[in-house]
Amino acid sequence: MKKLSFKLLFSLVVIGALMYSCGGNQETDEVTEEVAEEKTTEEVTYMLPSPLQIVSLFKNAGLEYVGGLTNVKENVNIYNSKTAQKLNFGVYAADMAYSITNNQTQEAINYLSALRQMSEKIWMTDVFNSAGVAERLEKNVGNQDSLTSIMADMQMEMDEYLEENGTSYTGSIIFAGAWIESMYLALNSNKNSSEKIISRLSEQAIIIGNIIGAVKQANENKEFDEIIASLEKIEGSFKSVNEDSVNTLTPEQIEGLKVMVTEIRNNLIKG
Amino acid sequence: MNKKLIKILVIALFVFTYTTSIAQETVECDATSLKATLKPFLMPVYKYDSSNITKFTFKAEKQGKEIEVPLFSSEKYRLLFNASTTPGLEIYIYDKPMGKSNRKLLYASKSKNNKEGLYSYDPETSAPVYVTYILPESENVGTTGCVVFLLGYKF
Repeated sequence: MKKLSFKLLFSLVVIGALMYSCGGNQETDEVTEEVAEEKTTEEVTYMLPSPLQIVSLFKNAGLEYVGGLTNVKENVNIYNSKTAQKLNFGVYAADMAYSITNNQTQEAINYLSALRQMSEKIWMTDVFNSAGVAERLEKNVGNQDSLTSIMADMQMEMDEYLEENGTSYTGSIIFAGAWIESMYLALNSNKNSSEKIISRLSEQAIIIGNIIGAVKQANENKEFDEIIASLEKIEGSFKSVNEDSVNTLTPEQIEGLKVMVTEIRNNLIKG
Repeated sequence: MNKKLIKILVIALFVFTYTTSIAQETVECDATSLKATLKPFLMPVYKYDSSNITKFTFKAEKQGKEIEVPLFSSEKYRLLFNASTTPGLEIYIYDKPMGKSNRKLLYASKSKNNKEGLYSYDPETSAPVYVTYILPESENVGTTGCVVFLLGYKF
């Protein structure tokens, strides 16, 4: 009898341990995962390009550098809200890309410094402090390919940082700011109304929907309502390209787009 | 009796620890190292542009996810995938989004027979493409995995 109860007790303990370790925990985890997954399966994921790609598209189409257009570095100190900080981080990223693609290395280094300060505000300190990016930029003055590689590496490090910290959505907000700044720079640097640049500007119609979609997915707390409204306003300017299959915007439409983007961008950099 | 009780507890503890470790044996998604594996495939023509990490939990039923990728005309891109942590995953690339009746298949990973789970696709058309992941039903329900998608761009 004693032997039997010992075996029984032993079996119960072992079975109990097995049930707890295999069943209990896993079930809880699975439910959590399923809920999260169902939610994302319903949504399409919007992949967004880097600010450097957008600026390079315009540069390769013949966009010339115009000094004094970019946001001033001193403005770093006026961005107090997290939304303004993320959006203007994107603005400065586009400004750095504009400087790099136009061989303005010192300007690029200055914008790197602005990005570092901004990154501290939005808890991304590690990204730029560890990279030794400024030193690499200085060593590669005049080497366009290397400068581009350095910025591409920076982008990769930032994406990894955001992913590791579960804040990938921040990347969408940063890109929204970068895209508005890139459009502003292209529209205001195209002094000769180059057809190639107008074609590239018109082509941005394919991306505006993705940006809005990505920012909306990040807007659970309604903190990005204002920027979504601004982007939707810009999207309206691309109606003829998106809905009527027109290849390029007319000079009047480009002028309208320029006025609208300039106003939105100037409000953005005010913080 | 005391000795026996201690034995029972020791064995139970061992069984508990062992089974717990098995239950929690899920593949970690180390995006940094998965990306690092892909990066050499960009060289020397392409540079890193952007990336996406999609996480999966294996289920008893088939599951799918779609990513919309904007590509600009006359530009050169390379799409790289590391699906080494999600055995059985199929990658399809289409010219139109899911639900469109006339969408054309541009690429299917199934035809590549790549045991390492690394895939590469250089699009010939520069228009938005739609990457669809299909993960078949699995017996390892609850196990996790991920796919790293890296977009290379010729600057």
